[in-house]
This record gives sequence, structure tokens and C-alpha cells, in this order.
Amino acid sequence: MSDIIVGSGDYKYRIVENWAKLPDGWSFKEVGAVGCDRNDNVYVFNRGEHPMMVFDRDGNFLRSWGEGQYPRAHGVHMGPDESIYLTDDGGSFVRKCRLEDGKVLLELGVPGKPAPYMSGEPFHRCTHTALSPKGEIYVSDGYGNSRVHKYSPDGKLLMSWGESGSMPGEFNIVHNICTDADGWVYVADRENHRVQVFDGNGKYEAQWNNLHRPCGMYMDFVHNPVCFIGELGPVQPVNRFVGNLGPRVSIVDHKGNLLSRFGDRLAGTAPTAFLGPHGMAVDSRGDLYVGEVSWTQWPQFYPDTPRPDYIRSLQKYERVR
Amino acid sequence: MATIVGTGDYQYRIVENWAKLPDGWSFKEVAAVGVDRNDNVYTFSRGEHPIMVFDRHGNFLRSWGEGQYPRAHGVHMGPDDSIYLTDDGGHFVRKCRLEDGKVLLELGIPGKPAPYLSGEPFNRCTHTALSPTGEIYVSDGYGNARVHKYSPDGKLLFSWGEPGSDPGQFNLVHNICTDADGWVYVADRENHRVQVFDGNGKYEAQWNNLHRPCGLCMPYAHQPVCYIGELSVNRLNANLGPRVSIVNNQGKLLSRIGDPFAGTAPTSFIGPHGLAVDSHGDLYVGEVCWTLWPGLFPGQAHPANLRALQKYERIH
Repeated sequence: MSDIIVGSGDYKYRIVENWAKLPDGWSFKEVGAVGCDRNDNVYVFNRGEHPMMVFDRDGNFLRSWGEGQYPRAHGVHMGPDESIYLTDDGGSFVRKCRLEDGKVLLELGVPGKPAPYMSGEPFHRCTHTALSPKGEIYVSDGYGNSRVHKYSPDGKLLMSWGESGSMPGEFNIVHNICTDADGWVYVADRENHRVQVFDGNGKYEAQWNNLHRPCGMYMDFVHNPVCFIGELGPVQPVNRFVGNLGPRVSIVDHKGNLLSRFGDRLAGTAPTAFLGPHGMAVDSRGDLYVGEVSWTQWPQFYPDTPRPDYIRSLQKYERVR
Repeated sequence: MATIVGTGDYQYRIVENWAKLPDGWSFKEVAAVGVDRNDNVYTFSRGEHPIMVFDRHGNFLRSWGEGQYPRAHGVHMGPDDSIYLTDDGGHFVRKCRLEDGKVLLELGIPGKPAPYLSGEPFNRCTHTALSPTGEIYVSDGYGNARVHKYSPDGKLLFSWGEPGSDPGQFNLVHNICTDADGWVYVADRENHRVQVFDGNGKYEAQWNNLHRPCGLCMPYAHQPVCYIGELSVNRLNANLGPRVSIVNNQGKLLSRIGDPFAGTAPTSFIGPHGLAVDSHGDLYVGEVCWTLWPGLFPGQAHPANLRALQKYERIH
């Protein structure tokens, strides 16, 4: 057990290194997103040959599924009914799957057939999914649209909102989406460096600032939840080495006030550092899992250094109480 | 056919090909612009003639500074027929006489930057502004995350800021302005915001809903409006600049100029980097079009005469 403690205040964590025990020769490559079920099993949606790997809370491998069916893992949302919503940006689709074996229960979008770029029609590289208190499905969309779509629980498109821009209600890469038990919708508007908050009809309510490229979001489905935000670092030649801008994980209250933050000053491979914290999940004990798109981020930070054969793309953070 | 841009109280008629340069001269690109009390226009550019001066009709008056400014970046007009020039390539600020560019004061050591992110002045400083009592603020910049405050005669009083995204932290401090109430406005470019401080560097507020705010201009008044040049990243996503936004002194949008995407049309921008407003309310926008061209138009050759300056005549 490592003795490395990160975070501050009420949100401190002990780093659990090398938590996941993968079958011999298997690799995540990189992890798009993570989810935890009600038994605290952990679902790792990754970009290797086994898109979904399932582990128990001690990191023991349980099973895999989805082989060959997910071109580019991006987002995970856990359903309340032993289901998991997977968003694949490479395939431009969302699937609701059975936890046990990945059986597809519902599919939104047409795999491999994106809507025209910036058409506003679903989907063009959709990114993430969340559920309203009544089970309606929100989809953030994404890289090739600037939209949030709302579907009925059985997959009928109800409405969409958003357009490209920097004003309230406008988006610049809609990268993740979360909801709470009061019906608020939280959208990681990544390249506008903010999280926007909407009501269930898409009406703008507020924005959280002081973030840097907020990318992955996780919220417990409760009233006034805290929000776990994975932020990406600066990768432009002018600010790559400025520091203190991520990659990092920030924990904020439901008004966006910072409660805890961890990550080193610059990107890195140390246990305390991040490369690309892209998907997060919290289990019933408050332990945090952070999946990273480390292969994608590596050349952006280190354009002249070949990527090592192994770089970390998942780590567990055990909450210290 | 007059082209009108902007909205509400801030509408402008575009004046194309305003500047009449001597034969064979070029701005290359214009980092910043200033206007003196006679409405003469000072362009601080990256061509062979760093300062060119024009009357308000675009007639060329004179040039100065040849060979002395490695990379033009910021202009601030002094109240005493002086101009403050900030050169990020040379890591210095100079207060110059308007008439001939005679150096009246110099901050920093030309060609000798402070260590990267040391917090010491300067590492690619970007812009300058004056307090109501004549103290000099310098934004610094690309290689620091600081604002420095100097006495009017150039003594360093104090500095504030560090890297980061929280209030009071900076991610490329690109421009700085002041108003007659003593507030200090800082374009925190890669944090996509303007931060407002009091004269002691205490954080007061921030303006959001901006995209890479880069050039700032404020008439020196109480509760002035602010003219903001914003940069884009590419030409893929609309309504994210390059553009000019005019906001009130609480950051509320009053008018906005620019097409949905970067371009060379009179109504569009490539890189609005330095702005100035004259006594008629007419606006001048200098652009770093050569620097930004390859990022916006990858693989396309650079047109010979890319626009680097345009005048916008205010409609009252």
C-alpha cells in the first residue's frame, strides 16, 4: 500500500498504484471512461482490444465484453437498472448495455454514420450520456457538433440545444455531461474552459469558471452533489510549460467552488501526476477511479519523445476519512 | 457600397485601404496601434519600419524606430505626448517621444530576458498601461505570469500573479488597460478571460464568455467601455473569433464585429491583436495576420498583401 496522499480538505486520497490486474498480455491502451456498479465493480471503457473490462474493487479481473464493437471508447454513464450507457465518438453512437454481458438494450445514432459536421443533428462524434430524474437520456455531441440532445427513455429524440460559440448556451467542444437528482444538467464545455449548468429544458442557468479544459465529469446522482472534474493540460507551444493548469482532477461543490485538487504542476507519469484525466467514477465508499487518454495526450506534451511501451491509463484513489 | 458592422450604439463603416504607405513599404503585420490627441495614428508593426505615423485620413506622416524593435507587441499612449512601446522579442518597454521616437525611459534590458517563469521582469513582456498617478503597469507575458507595477520614473514597486487558472493566476498575460478609477484590466488570453484588479493587484472580478482575448483598448475615462480583440484556434467551429467585442466596464457585451470564421474579407479578421480609438470614436484594428495565417489556413500560401490594419468609422 502506497503512502502517497493527494488532495486536500475533506477530499483526500491514498493512491493505489497498479490496482487493475489485467489478464496476461492484455492492455487498456488508454481509458476513455470508467463506471462503478452498485456492487462497486469497476467498468473500464478503453481503447485496447477489449473495450470493456470489469474488475472487482480490489482490481481482480472479472470479465470483458464488447470486442470489435467499439471503435473509440469515450463516455460511460451507469444506469439505475443494471445497465451501462456507452458513448463511442469514433462510431458516433450511444448504446445502453446490460452490465453482465454487454447485450445492447438500446442504441442511439447509426454506428459509423455521423450526421454532417456541425449540422446540429445527432450525432457527430458524440461524447457522453446522462439521465434525467425521469430516465430521459441526455447526449453531449461533441467534437463534430455543438449540441446537447434529449431523448425519451425509449430513445425518441425530444429536443436539442446549443450552437458553436462562447456565449452562455453556446459550446466549444461539448465533452461530458452529468445530471443531479434535482434535474440540473452540467455540461463540460471543454475549449471554453467552463462547465455550463442548464435546466432540463436546456435553459442556461450558470457557469463555472477558473477551470482549464474541463474534460471528464462525474457526479453522484443526489441533491446538490459535488462534481469531480478531470481537466486537460495546456498543449500549445506558448503555454505547454506554464504549469498549474492541469492535467489534474478538481473536486468542486454544486456551485463550482473548489474543494480539492490534485495533480502535479506539469503533466507527467509519476503517481501524483496526470497525462489526460478523461473519465472518472466514484464507488460507494467514495473511492475514485481516474481513466486517462494517456496515449493520445503523450505526443501533445512530448512531441519529440517516443511514447514508452507502458504508460498508466487508470489509477485508483482510495478516500481517506 | 459602405459596409456596416457592429450593433446597437457601436456600429462602424469599414474604411478599406485606409493607410497610404510609401511605395514599397509594408507593415508585414501590425501588433498594436495608438492614437494621439490630434488623432494621428501610430502603427507598431513587424516590418522594416516599426513605427509609422498617419493622419486620420491615412496620409503617411513619418516613421521611426528602424532596427530598434525586434518584435513589436503593445502600444499605450502617454498623456504627455509620449508613447509606451512594449517589445516581446526584445523583452523591454520604452517610453518614447511621439515626434521622433527618442527614448525617454526604458524598462528591462533589451535582449536579456529574465529566466522563464521566474516572476522577475521581463520574459516576453506584452503591454503597458498607466495608473491615474502615472505609475506604469507592465503585463509579462509569454514567459512569465505576472503584472509589474513601476513608479513613473521606472522603479519597480511590486509584482503580482503566478501561473494557473484561479483568480489572480494567469495563463498568458497578453494585454493590460486601466481606467480613470484606477482599475486594472488584464487580458488573460489562454484562460479565455479578462481579470480586473485594483491598483494593488487585488483581484476584483473576471469577464468570461470570451475566446482568447488578446488585444485590449479602453478610453481613459470613468467606467469606460472596453474594446477586445479575440483570437480563434482554427476555422472549424463558428462564432469563436477572430473578432472584436465591445463590452461595458462590467464585461457585458455591447457589440461584436467579425464573421463566423477567420477570413480575409473586410468584415472578417485573422488576428485582431492591437486596437485604438480616436476622438471621433473611430476604431483602428491591427492584426498579426502573418503569424496566424499558417494555423488558420494550413498548406495555403500566404497572399502577398494580407491586410494588417483596418479603420472602422463610427456611425453616430
